[in-house]
Amino acid sequence: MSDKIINFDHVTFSYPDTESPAVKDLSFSIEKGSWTALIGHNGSGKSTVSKLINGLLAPDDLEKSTITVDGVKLAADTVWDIREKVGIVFQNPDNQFVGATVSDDVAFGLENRAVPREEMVKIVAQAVADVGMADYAGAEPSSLSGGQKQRVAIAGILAVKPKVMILDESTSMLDPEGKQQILDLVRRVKEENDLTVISITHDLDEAALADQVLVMDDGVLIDQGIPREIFAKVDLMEKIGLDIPFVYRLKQLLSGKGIQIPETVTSEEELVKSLCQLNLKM
Amino acid sequence: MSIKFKNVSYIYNPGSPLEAVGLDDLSFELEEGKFIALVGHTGSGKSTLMQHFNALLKPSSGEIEIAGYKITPETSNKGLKGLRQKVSLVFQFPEAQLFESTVLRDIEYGPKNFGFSDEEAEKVARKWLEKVGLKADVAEKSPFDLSGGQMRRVAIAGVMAYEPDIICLDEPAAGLDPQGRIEMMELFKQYQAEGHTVILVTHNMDDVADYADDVLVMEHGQLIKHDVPREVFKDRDWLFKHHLSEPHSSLFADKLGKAGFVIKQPLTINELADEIAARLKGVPHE
Repeated sequence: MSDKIINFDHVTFSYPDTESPAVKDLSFSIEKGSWTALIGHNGSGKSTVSKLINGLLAPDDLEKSTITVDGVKLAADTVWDIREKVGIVFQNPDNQFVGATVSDDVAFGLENRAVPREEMVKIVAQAVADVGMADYAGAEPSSLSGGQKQRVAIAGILAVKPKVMILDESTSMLDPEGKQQILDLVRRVKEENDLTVISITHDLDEAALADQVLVMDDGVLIDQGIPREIFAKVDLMEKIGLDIPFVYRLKQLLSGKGIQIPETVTSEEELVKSLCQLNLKM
Repeated sequence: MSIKFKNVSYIYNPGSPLEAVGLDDLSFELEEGKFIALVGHTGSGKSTLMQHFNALLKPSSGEIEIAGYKITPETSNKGLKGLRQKVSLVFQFPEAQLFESTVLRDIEYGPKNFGFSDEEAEKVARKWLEKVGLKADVAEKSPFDLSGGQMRRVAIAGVMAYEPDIICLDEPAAGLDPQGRIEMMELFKQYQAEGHTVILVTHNMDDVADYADDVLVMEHGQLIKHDVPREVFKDRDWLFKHHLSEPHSSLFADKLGKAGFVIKQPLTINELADEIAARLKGVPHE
């Protein structure tokens, strides 16, 4: 158990005045230092899970549901300890700024924790440099691009040294270059800071980076596995309203035209190879 | 009728130290009734251009003809209400602008503002509630009790309900799940097919390939290309130079070509599958 940083055991949660729970009897665990993608359609319970992980929401019945984060069991008196351990980068970069400058913003979490000023200055400078924004330390957040704003949000999280970073659709508003830069950055800071990353996403390219994929549908965890295994389940993906990765969609269309590609072909490179072989047989 | 921009420039904060060029001498003509994609990087001037379509911003110099109106730097804000009924903008994350106590009232707000009677407003609100894919029983709910995707639909229904001739939407499908995104795109395609002009601001080149008739590409406040999707995506070196991505099918065809299986450049996945099948025809398969 020691290498499991997050553990959900029979977790059920309902929003007030709703008939059915948003999350039903959910059990899973996440390994320390891993990258997990949480996928599912809008309203499947993904964001509820992220709020349960950092104690923004509490399960219906703490007797029956257990949530453990980095060895600490979620309870009324431990929720602040847990929030120290989990940072969330949200979807809309404009909704998460509080400071007048980039540095002020990054310092916000430290101010809340009453970190002495000399120390704070050092930590902020380091965090801002870590995300490649040192040149913008004094800049006004509103003058930054969406991708730069998300970098600052990540710096704010790094500054308070959490154990877990949750990306809640954090790249969905960015252009393709901005998206790639953020994913590269997260990958790097994850290694440097020994972070565990959970990314809640609709973007299959982002999910494909993960060590494990959890699939949610109507509050229930319906599948989990490595990306390759999960995305091969074309019917399941379609049934729950998720996109099918490009390779699987193309294989399906080709199959409809009488061109059968082996099941073992799951990447674009393999598909190119397979098609070239068929072409040579002509 | 068409949308005409003649030498349109826009300067932010003129005469101040923060002076910056937003649009730099834009001239183009768009045919009405088409599905138009507006692409370019963050900061390329897309949003600035979008705000000129209904004179939220007026040109610093040049002239715009749109929906029977002529906009110049001298145009007064008076009398522009009619233009705003004919040309509507939907900004990113429009759900942030919901404010009414019920979904129905929120959708009725736009039509009422443009002079629809209570009865008419309710009628169109109910019609568009359904058209954007929401169930009739959400009408009396608070919009704030809905999911993010549902709120987005309510916000868009509120604009479509008074049926502007031209609707310009900034990344309307961002953050929606794949099913929701397809439904949303089909809704706009249908709106266009019913005789309206749709202008879509997007980063998603697959959507450009799948839906657009005409593409405007912006960079540093300038219009660097105006053509049909097939022509825009034809010149791979040009796209690379301007940091623009390509439709996924086109990228895949390139990989195939490099491996020795050369096919005609496809725009969509269906074209790609057709091209591959045509080349492999006659190959015995298991």
